[in-house]
Amino acid sequence: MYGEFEMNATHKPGTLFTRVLFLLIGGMLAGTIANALRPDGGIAWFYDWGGHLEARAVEEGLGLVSVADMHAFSVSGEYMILDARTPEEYATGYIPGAMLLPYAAVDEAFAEIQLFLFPEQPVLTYCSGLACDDALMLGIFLRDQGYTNVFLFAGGMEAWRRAGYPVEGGP
Amino acid sequence: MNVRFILVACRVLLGVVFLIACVHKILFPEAFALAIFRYQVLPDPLINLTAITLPWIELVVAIAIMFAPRFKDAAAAIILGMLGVFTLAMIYNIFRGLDISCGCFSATGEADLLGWDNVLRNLGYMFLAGVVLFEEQVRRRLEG
Repeated sequence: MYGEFEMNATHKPGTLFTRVLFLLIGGMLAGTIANALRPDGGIAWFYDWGGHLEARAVEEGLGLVSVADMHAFSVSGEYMILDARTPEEYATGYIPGAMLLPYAAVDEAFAEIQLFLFPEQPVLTYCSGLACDDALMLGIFLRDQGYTNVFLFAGGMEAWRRAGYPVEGGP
Repeated sequence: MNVRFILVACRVLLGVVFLIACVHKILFPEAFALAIFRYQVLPDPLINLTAITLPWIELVVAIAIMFAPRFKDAAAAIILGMLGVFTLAMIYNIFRGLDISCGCFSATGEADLLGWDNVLRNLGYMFLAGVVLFEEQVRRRLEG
């Protein structure tokens, strides 16, 4: 019954090491060819991850939160959640409890929000998603203003909506 | 229980697990690259190369361990090695308190957050791979 699975060990080609190498090279070749042949051109062979939003946030000393954490914080209400997008984008819907602090007009907007903040208060920033850096810049700005608990939700609105969490405001 | 049945069951289970694990990564290499990046254990130049090749290595060993008896020990050895490395990276990140997704079965799975359950699961699979790799010894031991 298990004949197909029970081939005698003496028929094995080469040593265990060469067989391992054979499978590894086979897999790597397949992956390389598949990436080259992808209709969308495949992903870059090398990518400067150092420029990636999250890498920069870590470098700047900001904390990172996942979408699940973001949801928990949004529900708990202990965090000041700041939306760094433009007022137009904010009007299309935002994370429940988030206040608008557009990075594009950070100086004026911060003067208003400042009244609600104290230095150790945990603050979360976000913008539209991994492609925008307004939330990162806002986080850096807040850190420079002396706030010590600044977190970036890098996934932003995109990840929030994708996870199916409720959105406040909007049409 | 029949020893041969146990050994075949180990191979089929590992094969199916690795087949399932590679599908999403092969379909969405970009998301998988991001998952690897978040582990922060690989140097930048190796992240995309790993995202491109690793899922296909998983596919090859999944097929080999199920359907290529001559290569089952080699496939088991690779699985053991890969899971060992994955598990170390997981433990490292759990201790660092990094809140990242496991990236095990779904590259984007935010719901599948990295935790000790992932480590335990990997250790279980490593045990099965060990059984396949040391099949002769297991057989001798169990059959007496």
